[in-house]
Amino acid sequence: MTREEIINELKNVVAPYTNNKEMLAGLNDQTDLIADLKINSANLVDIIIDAEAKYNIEIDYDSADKMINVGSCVDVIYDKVNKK
Amino acid sequence: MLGTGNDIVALAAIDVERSRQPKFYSKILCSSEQRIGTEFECQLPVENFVWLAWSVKESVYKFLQKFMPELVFSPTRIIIAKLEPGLGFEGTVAYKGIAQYYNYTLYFRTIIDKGYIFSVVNFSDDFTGTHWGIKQIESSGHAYQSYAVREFLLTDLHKLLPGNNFTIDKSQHGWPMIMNNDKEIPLPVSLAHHDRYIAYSFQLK
Repeated sequence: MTREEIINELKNVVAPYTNNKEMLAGLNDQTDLIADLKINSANLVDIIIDAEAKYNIEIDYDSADKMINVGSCVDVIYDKVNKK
Repeated sequence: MLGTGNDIVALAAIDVERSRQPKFYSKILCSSEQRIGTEFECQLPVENFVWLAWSVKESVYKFLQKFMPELVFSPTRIIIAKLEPGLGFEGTVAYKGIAQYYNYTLYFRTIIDKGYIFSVVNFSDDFTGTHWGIKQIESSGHAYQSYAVREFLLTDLHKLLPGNNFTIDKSQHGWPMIMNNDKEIPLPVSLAHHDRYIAYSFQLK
C-alpha cells in the first residue's frame, strides 16, 4: 500500500469528525488534525480506533502519540501495514 | 508554579457504546485507572469514568504544556492516582483527586452534570484562587465556540476585575494569553469547548 493510497483512505477515516470539508479535500502531510481540520481532541481516539479497523492493524501508545498531523498518521499506518 | 488547565466533554456528543468498549477505553486508561473505574462503577457508569479521566488528562496536558511547549498529549502517560467524591452543588455530582505525569503531581476537581463533564487542575489542592465558568451555547460550529468562550471569559474577568481593558491573544505555541492594554499579564487561563458547551478557568494568586 502506498502513502498516496493511505492518504486517500485516511480522508474517509477523518471525514466524520471534521466540518472543514475544504481542508479535508486538500489533505496533505502537513495538515494538523486539530489546528487545521478543527477535530475535537475528544475524537482523536475514535480516529485511532477507526484507523485500526480500516487497515487491520494495532496502533500502540507510542505510535498513537506520534499521530498529530496527517504525515505522521500516514507514517505510522504505512509502517504497520507494510510490516504485516 | 502558577497555572491552570481545564476541559469539558459534552455528554450528548460522546458515543456511549464505544466508550464502554475495552478497545476504546484502553487507549485512554492504564490498568491502575481501570481498577479505580471498577471501584467507582456503582456510582459512575463506565462512559462517565472514561470521559472524567479524559477531561482530567486533557486539563493536565493544558496546564503542563505552558511549562513544556513541546509536550505531546499522551493520555495513558497522565495517570489518575486518586479519585474521591467531592462536594457538588445545584444537583451536580463532583469528584476530586490527584493526577500524575512522571514527577509532576496535579490536583483536580471534576463536575458531572447531566449535559457535561468538566475538570480543572491545579498544582495545589487549594482551589480558592481557581475561577471557572461553564456555559451552554446555541451552536457547535468551531468558529462560534471559539468566539463564545472568549467573550464568556472576558465578560466574567471584567466583572471580577473591573476597570481593566482585557483582551485575549494567542501565544506562539497556541495557548491563550490575557492582555491588558495590549500587554500580557501573568494570569494563567485555559479555554475549552466541546459541542454545545464552553468553559474557561483562570488562576489568581
